[in-house]
Amino acid sequence: MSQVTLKDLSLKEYALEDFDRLRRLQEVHFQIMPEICIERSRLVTEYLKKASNSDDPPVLRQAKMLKYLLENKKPIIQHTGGKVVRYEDGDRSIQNFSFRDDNLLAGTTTSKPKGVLLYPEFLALTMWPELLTARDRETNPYYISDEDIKRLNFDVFPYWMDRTPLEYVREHFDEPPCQRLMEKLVFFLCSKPYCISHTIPDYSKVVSKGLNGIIKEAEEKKSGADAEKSAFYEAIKLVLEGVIAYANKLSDEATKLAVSETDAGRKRELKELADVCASVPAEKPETFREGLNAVWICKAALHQENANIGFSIGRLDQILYDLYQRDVNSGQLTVKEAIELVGCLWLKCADHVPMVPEAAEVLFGGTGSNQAITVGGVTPDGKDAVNDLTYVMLKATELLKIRDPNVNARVHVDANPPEYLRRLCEVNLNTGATPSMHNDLAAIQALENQGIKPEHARDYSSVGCVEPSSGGRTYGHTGSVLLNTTAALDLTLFNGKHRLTEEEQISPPTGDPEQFETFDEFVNAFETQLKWLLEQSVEMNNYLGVAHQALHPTPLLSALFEGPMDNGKDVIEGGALYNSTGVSITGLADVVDSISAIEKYVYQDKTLSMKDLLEALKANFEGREDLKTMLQKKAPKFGTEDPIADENARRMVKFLHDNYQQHTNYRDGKYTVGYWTMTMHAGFGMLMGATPNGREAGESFSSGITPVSGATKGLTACLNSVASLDKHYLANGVALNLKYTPDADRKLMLDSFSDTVEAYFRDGGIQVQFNIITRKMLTDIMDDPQHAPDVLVRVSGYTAYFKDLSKQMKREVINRSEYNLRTMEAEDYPWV
Amino acid sequence: MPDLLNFRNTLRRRRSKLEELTERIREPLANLNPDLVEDFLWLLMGVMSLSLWLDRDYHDNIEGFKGKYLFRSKDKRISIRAVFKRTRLFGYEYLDVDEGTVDDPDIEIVFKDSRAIMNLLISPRIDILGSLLRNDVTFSGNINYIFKLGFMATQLRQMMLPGI
Repeated sequence: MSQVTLKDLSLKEYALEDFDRLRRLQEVHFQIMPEICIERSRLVTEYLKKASNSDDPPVLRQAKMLKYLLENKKPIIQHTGGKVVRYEDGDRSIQNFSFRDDNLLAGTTTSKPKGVLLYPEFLALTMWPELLTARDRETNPYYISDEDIKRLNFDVFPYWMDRTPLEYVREHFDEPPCQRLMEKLVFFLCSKPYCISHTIPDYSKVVSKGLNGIIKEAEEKKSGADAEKSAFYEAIKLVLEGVIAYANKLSDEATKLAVSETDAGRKRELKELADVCASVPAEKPETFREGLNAVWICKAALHQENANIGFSIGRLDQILYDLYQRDVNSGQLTVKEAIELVGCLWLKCADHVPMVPEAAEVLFGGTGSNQAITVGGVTPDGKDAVNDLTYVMLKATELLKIRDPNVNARVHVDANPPEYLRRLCEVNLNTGATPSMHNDLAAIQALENQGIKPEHARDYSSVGCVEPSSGGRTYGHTGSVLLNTTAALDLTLFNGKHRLTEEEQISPPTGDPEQFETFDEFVNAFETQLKWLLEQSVEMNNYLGVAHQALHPTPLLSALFEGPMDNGKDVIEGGALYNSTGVSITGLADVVDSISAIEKYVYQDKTLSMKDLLEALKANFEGREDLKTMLQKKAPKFGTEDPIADENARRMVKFLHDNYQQHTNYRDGKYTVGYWTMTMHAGFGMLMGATPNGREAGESFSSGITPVSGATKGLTACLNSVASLDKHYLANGVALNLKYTPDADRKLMLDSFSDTVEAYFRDGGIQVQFNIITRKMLTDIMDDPQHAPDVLVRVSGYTAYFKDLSKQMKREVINRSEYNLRTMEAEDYPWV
Repeated sequence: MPDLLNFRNTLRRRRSKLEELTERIREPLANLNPDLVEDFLWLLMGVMSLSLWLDRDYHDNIEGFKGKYLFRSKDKRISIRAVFKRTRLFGYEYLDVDEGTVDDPDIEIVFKDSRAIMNLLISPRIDILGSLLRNDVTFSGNINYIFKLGFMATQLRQMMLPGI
């Protein structure tokens, strides 16, 4: 039976102007610049330098450190000001900016209104050479005071020089070849040097038990446990006490502010906040507002333990629905108040940005924290889960149009009503880029195929960009490995050498491709290189996993997970109910198109010799424009239902799945494969030479699982090709990026939009996401970032502000195939 | 014209002066005999070494710091070691720079060629990750030592060329 009681699912009666608080805070969000916050770095380093007991096992050491951090973290109820960049007469200055922060939720991830949280134990040291210039960066500058630069330079960073996971691996595993390969940056990247993250805590525990309930459970388990487990349960107790201490300090701060507040309305809000924080998350929440605040305080605390890169929130419309419904039914809460509260949480989620050094902007520029929230879909027993709170959350998303959180909507085309899908399309039209949509039918099967119980698979949420995961149960680190498959193609074409690293023999030789007589010989060589490369990535990820076990257990995350409490061990040790490691593939469509071109012209038609092709590639098609045009325009392309290309795509996807699944991770879990690339397809593209699909050196690769831009002529063929890939091989999610031309006829657009998604999902497509924006708008912003600084785009998985992206990434978004939903054909635009 | 563009143009004008200058000297320097490139690298590290003696605040960077760096070209024709040491008498830290190699360096930085060395050293901004991405530079050892040296080099440049 439907849980929806709202008459108007679009909640049209509410506009942003009706929410003065949200409108003001949204404006502030867009105006203020990120500031590097050193509070966490300082406290963590201070504790470990002076107070750490070296006899503690790692999990207890980390627990004591986190408790110290939370007990000493500044409790912030409201910020009073931040920094803004002003431009006048050609000069740029950073000025102080005062604003009224009356967010209804308490607590912050950093001490700054938009903080850059540093984790010196991971990769914060990459910012070291840039500390003195971070304020002047042309793209995405960070403010940092001179005093804070000194503290980092003298007190914090030196301590960590030999203590990062990378250095642990270098020391304990003798700088293995896989590490040296990763550090060349063009073959694969592992994200464990930065964090584990990319997972979903079980916030339903916070709502159903409160932290005191979990502490009680830990104490009970501790009695009679062996020394190792006893330390783990003690660690759980300590970190949860730390979170409660932080909440109590927030309560005290709110009380203090209420005393001095002169505005009666705000005084009342502050008193209510003080009451809320005195109660939750220690006790289980009794109201919707308490529920939201409990989740937020725990989330802010979790970020002190683990960097937020795809640290996701899960199915919040399910977790908080009972509290919402109870409050609405009792008359304590109106829909408008609920929208405002949810909007406050969304703004809180945007209170920090990940640290990205200037050079890494090329690879990751413009990224937010990629914290996914999931709505809709089916319940664990397979029934329609869409409820009123789902629509409230969609409304808040529609009104605010901000980058974080990354909103993901699950769609079960049989169980969910059609008006729900239509509403998702409408929110996409109104925001231009969100939410992304996930097909329950396909995603649930993909998860079940990985051994997830049906009721747990049906309860999946999206992690980070797009990865389906049984939230709070699967410790999947879905963004562990970012593999550049075009590098394997290079190694094949140049017999184990890569054009970037020139004469260095990178991988075992697989033969001179000019001597291959059949396509099978060529493909075998490619698969040998690909297998070798993926094995390197597995080896490196596993070494880094061991480093994390020694250095960074996460007792707070473990406390909010299913499994560790029963198993008596941290998630990093394999304590979670399900364990896996996620791989993300870059370059699928470019590799498939390249191999398909070779199959057709070199081996089938024999109209092109491998020698000629290699020479043209080395020359970046200079003097061979005819060949480039042929490869671009006439060769078989993935996304066109071409049988050669589709077969090569199916073979490659199966190969990657089969070979990664042969490996186990350091927690005895399987490797799963997905196709979402964040901005890696632009970054890796910049480093790679010309490819046999007619792509020139330095150009971006295609994003996610999306066919190469310009290759597809019709939307239907594109969707059919992608949907034809076996979903069982795509368990770590996919990002299919589609760009639609906005149409003045909204009804036509909505009809066509929702029909297309439904057809694609019924065909087996797993995920799809959209950009609905005119090309002119994007080119205007490219020329002048101030033109529309808040324009949101889907990159490959997450959403970003277009102005923040690197030039390469901006060009990639502009050049994406753009489909007209009237004709279902791709528009024929020139490339920029 | 929007203010941001104005600003960027101004910043670019300021930087372009330095870039123009560096561009003028980079090409001839890049084509120098490797022995001269080695001398140039030695000279730059020598400037840092001297500044550490002369500027008390700058010297704070290496208080208690021990680090062994080896810079070399891929063909090993250029090789400079930079070792942070302490004087025996007063325990005062200093930077010892010389031609040749050093045992067990904390970090070995290998430049593709003379041009790659000049690209990194004679740049308005010291772009370590960019050099790695272009494969102009590879390394073996603890990259955090490069980051620390990168901070010190930026600080030195700001001391010598304020405002750029």
